[in-house]
Amino acid sequence: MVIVPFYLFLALYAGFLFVCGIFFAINLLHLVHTGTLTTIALLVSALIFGAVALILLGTWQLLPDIGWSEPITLFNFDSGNSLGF
Amino acid sequence: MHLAEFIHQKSYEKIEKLVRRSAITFIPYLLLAAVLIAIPFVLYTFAETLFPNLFMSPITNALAILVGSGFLVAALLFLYTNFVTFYLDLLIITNDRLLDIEQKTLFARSVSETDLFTIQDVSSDVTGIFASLFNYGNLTIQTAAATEKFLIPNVPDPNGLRHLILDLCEEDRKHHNPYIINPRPVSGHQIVPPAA
Repeated sequence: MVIVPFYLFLALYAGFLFVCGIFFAINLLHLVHTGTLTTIALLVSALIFGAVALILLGTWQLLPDIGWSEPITLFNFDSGNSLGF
Repeated sequence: MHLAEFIHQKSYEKIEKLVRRSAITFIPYLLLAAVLIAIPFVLYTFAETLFPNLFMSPITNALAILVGSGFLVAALLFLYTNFVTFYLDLLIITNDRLLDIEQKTLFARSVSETDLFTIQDVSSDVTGIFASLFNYGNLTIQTAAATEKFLIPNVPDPNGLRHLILDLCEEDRKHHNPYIINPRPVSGHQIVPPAA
């Protein structure tokens, strides 16, 4: 039986977003470095970054009152009162 | 950085045409991204219908939102990476040379260039229903230089492009010594032996 606080999942999510952010930046830098940041590339980049911002805003709005410090039981084979991992 | 800096454009050089792959060939990536973006919503609807109590717990609900949000961001990253790879695949035709920038993956790029006067043969190839409908196809350029063959896939109007390259080649040959290019120059060209 493993008990972890729920904010661990938030930290994992933040870490994933950080890695994705690095890849987004590399993509944008490629466009800037090769001199191909034209109107179309700028428009597509703006659309993609706008969509990402909307997703993050939506996620923030949907998670208002979560007890992030609440402990969660993982791998609890004795009872069914866990996430069932 | 400007494109001219990236290709080290010479003072007398003029960019005649920038050629990217046909936009039609990007549609499969758009469709795939649309399917990926739809997956979390479809799964959520299915799970809510099949297991109505699953998202009653705020913890499970929050976890589903985090996973779904991460998946959507990853789907957009997939789309953006494919767009950048597509957009950076570039054929640059100047009045002096031809540069083929091939963005294979995000971290793999190859740049090949050849002088126009070394081009021996240009062939275009349009095959398939979509290619014929939307007028795109492959362009193969045979040269006498170190990189012998250039294959540029899915370019729009390959026949027009072939004519443009051949015309520019003819023009460029006038500025170079025909003795070096052709051991048997075409009639009308004066053979100038190479300088000692």
